[in-house]
Amino acid sequence: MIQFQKFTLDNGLTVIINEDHTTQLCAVNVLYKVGARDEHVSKTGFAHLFEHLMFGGSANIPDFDTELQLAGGTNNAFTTNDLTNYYDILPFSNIETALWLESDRMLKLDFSEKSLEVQRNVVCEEFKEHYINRPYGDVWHILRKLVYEKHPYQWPTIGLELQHVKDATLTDVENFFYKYYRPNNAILTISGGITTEKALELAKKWFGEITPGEKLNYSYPEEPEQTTAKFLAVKKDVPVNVIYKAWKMPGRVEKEYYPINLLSDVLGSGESSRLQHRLKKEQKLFTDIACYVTGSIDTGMFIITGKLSEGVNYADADKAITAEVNTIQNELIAAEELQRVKNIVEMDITSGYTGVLNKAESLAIAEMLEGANLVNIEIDRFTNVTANDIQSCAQQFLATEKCSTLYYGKDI
Amino acid sequence: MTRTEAPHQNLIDRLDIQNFKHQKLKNGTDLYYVGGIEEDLIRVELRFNAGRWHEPQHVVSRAVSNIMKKGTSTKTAKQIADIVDFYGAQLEIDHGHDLTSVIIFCLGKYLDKILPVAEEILTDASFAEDELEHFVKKQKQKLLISAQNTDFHANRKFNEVIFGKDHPYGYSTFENDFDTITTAQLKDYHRKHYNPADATIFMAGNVNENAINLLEKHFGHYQKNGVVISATNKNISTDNENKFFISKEDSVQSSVRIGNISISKKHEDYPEFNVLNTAFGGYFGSRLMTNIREDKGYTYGIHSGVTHYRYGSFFVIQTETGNEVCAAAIAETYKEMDILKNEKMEEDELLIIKNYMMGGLLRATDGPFNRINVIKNMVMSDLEISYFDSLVNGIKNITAERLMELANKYLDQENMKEIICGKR
Repeated sequence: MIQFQKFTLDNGLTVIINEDHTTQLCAVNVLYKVGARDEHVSKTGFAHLFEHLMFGGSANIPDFDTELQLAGGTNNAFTTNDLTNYYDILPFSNIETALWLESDRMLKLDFSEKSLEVQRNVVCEEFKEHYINRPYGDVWHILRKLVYEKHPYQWPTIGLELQHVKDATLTDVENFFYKYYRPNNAILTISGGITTEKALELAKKWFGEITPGEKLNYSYPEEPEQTTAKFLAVKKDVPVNVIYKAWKMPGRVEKEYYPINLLSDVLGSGESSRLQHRLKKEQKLFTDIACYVTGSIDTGMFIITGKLSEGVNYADADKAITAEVNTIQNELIAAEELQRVKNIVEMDITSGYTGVLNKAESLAIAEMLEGANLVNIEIDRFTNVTANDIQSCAQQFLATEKCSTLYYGKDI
Repeated sequence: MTRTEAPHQNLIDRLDIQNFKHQKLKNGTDLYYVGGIEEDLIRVELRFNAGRWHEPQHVVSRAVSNIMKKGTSTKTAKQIADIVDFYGAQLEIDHGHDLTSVIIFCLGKYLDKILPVAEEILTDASFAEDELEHFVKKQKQKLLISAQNTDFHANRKFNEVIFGKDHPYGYSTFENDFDTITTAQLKDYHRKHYNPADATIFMAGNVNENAINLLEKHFGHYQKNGVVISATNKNISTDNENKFFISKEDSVQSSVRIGNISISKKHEDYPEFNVLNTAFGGYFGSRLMTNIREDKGYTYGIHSGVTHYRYGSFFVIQTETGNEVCAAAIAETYKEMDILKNEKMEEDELLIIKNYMMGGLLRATDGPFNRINVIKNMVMSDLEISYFDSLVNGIKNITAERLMELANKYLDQENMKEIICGKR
């Protein structure tokens, strides 16, 4: 259970405070409701590039990191397809420094050509390090493009190609900032050894005067329902053949998310799970196999992926996965299996909410999804899932014609 | 209010390192623990003298740590996984060079279900032939995939160059290493190195009397079996050459490793050398990051650090950088070394480093799960808890003059081994 209080400032900024007096630290988390899904198809990778620029100096503070380090703090940020999240963690007696810093860069960035040029290069090196100079680095580019037809989830946060990042201009940066990085489009969460009253007072002091932006009407192309199976084989000089099977699934805010999430655990979580035990251990078709959901806000992906054992062909591997999917569509899972996946989720949630940083981040993301209290009621939603719910999700969402299959490897 | 000046900042003066308990189980096993969280979570770590240092033949130690939870005389691998997974628990073996840990992480209410399994794999693991086969197959596949990465080759070469090809810390693993290990070897190694009576136990989380009683019940009755862990030194033979290039024609980036043998934690200079390393490449605002990433954009990241094994430590600078800017990045790295040697650091920068590092120690000791790790690292390096104060004093008392002196003593380009894997 995470206790918290929620406020909205006059400029629209949501402020959520969790008091935790067991620690000497505090976390300040600022979430902006903008991610790669908000990009134009010809300017992909921009939300993530922009995250880098947020450290390049703001209206009154030339160097964000230096000031935070002086206060004994550290920070980082990440960008997903749905959101961009910044966090600072520091001694709670210095919390005001983090609020000063975060509010100043929300107020106004110091847009400079030099900073843009350097960060374009840094991001290009990041692109190379993680997506080019590494076997299987381009799998997600290929898979997203295969699965999504309309939705901007068809590109990863790093962007479709290096060139998009190289082409970013200062005007792009400025427009993006004033559109998305406004208080009415952000959530500030604070967790740590500070009273709610004091935290709110400081939040108002530093963020209260920032001008709100236009009200945004988010709308994304709706992903059409898939009616025929898709297939792609990609020949690559990699040592091990891999297979990906992906089905579109309801987004993170839909009620079906809970049974589907448990369904993925039944199939793939832990060595006792069906795929790991039967296909890896017993049939030895795979050396690794996994099943998970992407948890995106809009239409997500339910993914089964495996590394094929030497000498196993794609068709047999594919057939074996399909057989397991069929089984779970045709037969109710056992009570013990259901309890197992619920216990796994209970552990995940309990361990995921320890420490000020986890709490601040979880509250912010929950608030963006449907309301911060989601962190406290989510466990019940999992507990209430029945074996029937899981079976009907398997039938409804994992149909053969709704699947996208990717074979990737040397033996194509 | 003014936005151009930072709000008042307080210095960190209290670090909770002393806040832990130490006691012995009935058989003399040391138990260290930190309690005090609201969530019903518990983490138990049993540390053993097991790892590359102790193995009779390459990869034996890794094989044992991978296979020991894959079956006992009374349970199959599936039955073990069923129990652990049913309770949403984690039972992991963390394999290191000198030490290996068996780690249990679960909800406190299920500790009594998981500890018996941990006890069983420690005392009765069966090492079946087909589990070894599966392990070998998987490791060979992993090796093939890793071999596509430039960083893999750079790291391997670096370890070989620093410690020597035959040294436990230096050797590289090849496919055929997996062909000669036998289940008999694994059983023997397991018997010698995983006796619960030889463990040091670290526990954190929602610790209560019941949890301690459970440890007593499952691990407190074993006796030492007289196996002596060899502490004889194995000669480190650092390569005489300084520069190595490994060609990988299809790469778009080069992996760079520059470093040498370093002083150990016990050396009197170490607490201050730790500060020098941080200044040079140990944090986001370091000299290397500021110049090579934030000014030049040559890389996504460049870091320096010190790794300590029980019988040897090394210092390394590492980065992944575009092939075309690799030489420039290396030149800038040496330039930054020279600047630290020749120019006194400004007080402003020194203050940032001190405050940042004190904040780091505060984070490292905050909460039971973090603090137990600090305790563990000191205990397992045979350091007194008071050593922590030396680290703190190293940070608090260091001067710009002393940093320059240490840079001249330890950052010597002539002494650095430089490994590049990429395309020229």
